[in-house]
Amino acid sequence: MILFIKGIFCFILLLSFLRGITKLNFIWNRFPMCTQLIPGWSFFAPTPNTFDYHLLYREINNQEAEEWQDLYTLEEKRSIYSFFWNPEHRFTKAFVDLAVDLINFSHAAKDKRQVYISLSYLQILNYVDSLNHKPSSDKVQFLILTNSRAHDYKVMFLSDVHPISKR
Amino acid sequence: MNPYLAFKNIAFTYQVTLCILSMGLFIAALEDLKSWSIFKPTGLLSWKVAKLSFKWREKDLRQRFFNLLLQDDVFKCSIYLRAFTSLLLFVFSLLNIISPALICSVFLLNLLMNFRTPYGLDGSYQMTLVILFALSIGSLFGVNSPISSMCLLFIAGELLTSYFIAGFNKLISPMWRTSSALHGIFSTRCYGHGFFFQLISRMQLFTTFLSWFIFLFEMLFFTVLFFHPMYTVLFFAVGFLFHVFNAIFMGLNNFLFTFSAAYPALFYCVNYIHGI
Repeated sequence: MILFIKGIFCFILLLSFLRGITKLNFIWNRFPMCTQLIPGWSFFAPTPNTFDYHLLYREINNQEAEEWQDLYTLEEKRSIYSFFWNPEHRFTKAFVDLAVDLINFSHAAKDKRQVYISLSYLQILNYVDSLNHKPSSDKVQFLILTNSRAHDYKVMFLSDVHPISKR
Repeated sequence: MNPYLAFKNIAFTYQVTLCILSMGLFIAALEDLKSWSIFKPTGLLSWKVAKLSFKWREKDLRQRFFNLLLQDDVFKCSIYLRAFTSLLLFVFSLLNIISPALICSVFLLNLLMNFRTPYGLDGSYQMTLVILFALSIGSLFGVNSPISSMCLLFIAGELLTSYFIAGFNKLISPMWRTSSALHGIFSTRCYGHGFFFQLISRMQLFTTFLSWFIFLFEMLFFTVLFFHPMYTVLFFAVGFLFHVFNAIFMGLNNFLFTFSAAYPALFYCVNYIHGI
């Protein structure tokens, strides 16, 4: 029993070590379940995220598009308690993960339709679709922008136009 | 008596680990409850969309059970339960009670988060799972069993691996070898800090020094194994300050608790290697 458990621990340690080697990413892409259960430790490396991501959306009424509205804005300053209590981090991290996933996939996908059925696209679309829309609006579209304190705004992803779900 | 000798004792090491970890888990569970709106059907991480990534078979009982566990009402209960069990774990650790059932429950409740959606989870969550997985196995076989000792060595191994890989990946990155990675990270509002960004923007040499310090510290952290246990505290002090800095200036509060919770296991490991 001791030998078996020792083997499991050594195997997990080996896999988490191998997960740190970026050249072996093709293995983890083939076995996505492994990436969920085996820890990967390349914090902010080799290429850290150096941008903020912004989600904007607009409503469309009979081919007439309204102004873009900022749906997700980051505060210039975090609360002074954030070193201890930072509930906003969950949303921020989730949106950054979704946005990065969607942008990378949209660059890699050969067929644009694959992007529209990707999980990250559908999650963001569902979020935008669930907002309170004007009764006159019948369609919606979203946009992802990046910027930072050092860089100006840049369009990274523009969604297709989708009908608003009936509620 | 030298304080480091206390970590020769497996039960004491478990107790300190669980005490620190449970504080972080309790805060993380409360944070999830506070930001519950993102898990709602109208939220950014809604289950009705997330479950589309699974290949569902109507007749598969396991999948139906899984779906039941991860749907909104049950999932919200699981977060409340996480908060409650974390609190209980903290009280138990103060009373020197190590309950395998409780540790396993906290592990399984935390694992649910990953199955619901991996989006929004970070390295602190991964370290939480590593520690809880190891302590669940160790406590099930008895705290003073040889397996229990192995579990602490595993946590120490994962901690050293995490620092080494993070440091190595930074070393091979041209962005990190110059000051542009730190400059870029702190220029964001999600992980950066206005004051610190202004400071490093003015002091190029300091930023490059800081970048090198970070990845050399991470890469060389494993050398703690070669020093006598009385010097381990120095490594931990630098590591702890590093995580305090990340918590204050990057908002990574959960890392402070989960990585600090892995330090007692490394203390045990250093004692073990030096035969103390």
